[in-house]
Amino acid sequence: MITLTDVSKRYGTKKALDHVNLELTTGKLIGLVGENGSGKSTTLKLIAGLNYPTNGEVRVDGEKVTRRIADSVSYLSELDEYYRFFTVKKSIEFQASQFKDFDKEKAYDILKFMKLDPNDKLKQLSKGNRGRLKIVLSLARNVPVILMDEPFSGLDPMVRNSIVKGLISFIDLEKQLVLITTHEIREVENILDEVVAIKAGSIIGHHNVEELREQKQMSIVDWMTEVYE
Amino acid sequence: MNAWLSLTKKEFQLGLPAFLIVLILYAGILSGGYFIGNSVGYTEGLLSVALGFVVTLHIFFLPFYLYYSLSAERKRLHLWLHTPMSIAGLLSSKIVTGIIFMITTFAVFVIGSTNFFLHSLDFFNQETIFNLIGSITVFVFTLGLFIAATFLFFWSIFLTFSQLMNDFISFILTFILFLFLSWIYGTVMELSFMQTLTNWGSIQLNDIIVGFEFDYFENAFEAQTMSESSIFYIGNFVRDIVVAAIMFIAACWIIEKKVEV
Repeated sequence: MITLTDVSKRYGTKKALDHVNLELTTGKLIGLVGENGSGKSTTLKLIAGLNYPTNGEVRVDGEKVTRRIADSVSYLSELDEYYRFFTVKKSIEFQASQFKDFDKEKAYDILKFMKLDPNDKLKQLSKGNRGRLKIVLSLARNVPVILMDEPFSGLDPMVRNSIVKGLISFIDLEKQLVLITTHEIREVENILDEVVAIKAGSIIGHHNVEELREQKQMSIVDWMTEVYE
Repeated sequence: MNAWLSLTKKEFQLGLPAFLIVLILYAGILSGGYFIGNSVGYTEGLLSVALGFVVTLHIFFLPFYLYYSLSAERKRLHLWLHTPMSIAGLLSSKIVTGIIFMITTFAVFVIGSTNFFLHSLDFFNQETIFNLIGSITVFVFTLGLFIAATFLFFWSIFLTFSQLMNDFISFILTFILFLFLSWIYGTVMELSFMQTLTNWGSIQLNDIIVGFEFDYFENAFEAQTMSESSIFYIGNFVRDIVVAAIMFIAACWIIEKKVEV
């Protein structure tokens, strides 16, 4: 479970998050949506312990978040920076050496699903394939929390849909909480359990996607359009 | 331990270009000294000057290596810092790799130059050259480690500043802080109280070679070593180790608590 209590974050004079209160429970795939600069990435970094709140507190499974929370949180960054001298296989081996919970067998299964060649060098991979590798490395960890910041941004629109659907099979929804930020809302809509909308550093809505669809007859995009206006 | 070893293996790959750059630079300086010396008939003299220059440069090998490696890491802090490993573990992995590269580079030139001087300068005997190598090694490595710890400390401060302002202003502020803290450190070390506290365990070093003297005549050339005796305090060595350890711990704390991605 992830809890943000009265969390604010400032970068100098710029306010990125403003008194955010949020509770996310295990066993769900949650989408964090909002426009550029709304605070999505900052929220993920705070949960990953890579940023510290200016005010308030972030907890993961009751533990106050520090950088060492990496033990129980898998984080996929939106940035396209790697150790380019690695091959795909070396990246997996390296990740496995750094995290005790890394499941190599699962990693190679996802790799196969992603149609990546283990012997390819990272510096020779296309942006889309580097994006796929990032997904492999973050999903292959058996951790309670997986954070994915724009995981589908580099993927071809033709394959994005099938990759999104396939991802579900690699997530243990009994034990894991997956928080995804994305602009590809239509593609992920069908796999999300909950959606959280963020605007100018404030949470403006938090809904169960099924309820939204059944009770309000709204898609996430419709709902977002409504709350953003 | 496996995680640390695996990380260190990665550090070797990441830092390899820095090692190669230095290796090529040293080879260039030494071969330059040799060929110029050879063409003017003063090979031993110019090669010694080149070697002295390389040894002086080598004091800065570790800080340079750390700068190279940490600059590469700065572009991907989200990968480097997203680990359950302590910052001390992350930095020590870089330091160990740097020291191994430093020893390798040093060994290549020590072996090469020892062979050269033993064969070309007849006043050199094995004992003299081993004494020289021993004192230079201790000097280069202790000073190199101290400067490396200083670099790590100020790099962590620079990184903290750079989150709030641009790199140029962060560098200027860090440099001002460096000058200020160096001045304080120098002033404190000059105090008679500190001198009493650290000037213990004196070792008399007799006839340590501090340089070479070359005389070139019309038809001949003479070479001899310049020696002097000096006093070395173990207390000063311990003081430097303590200060370096404090700076390393402070750098770890700053990166752990203040550096964000």
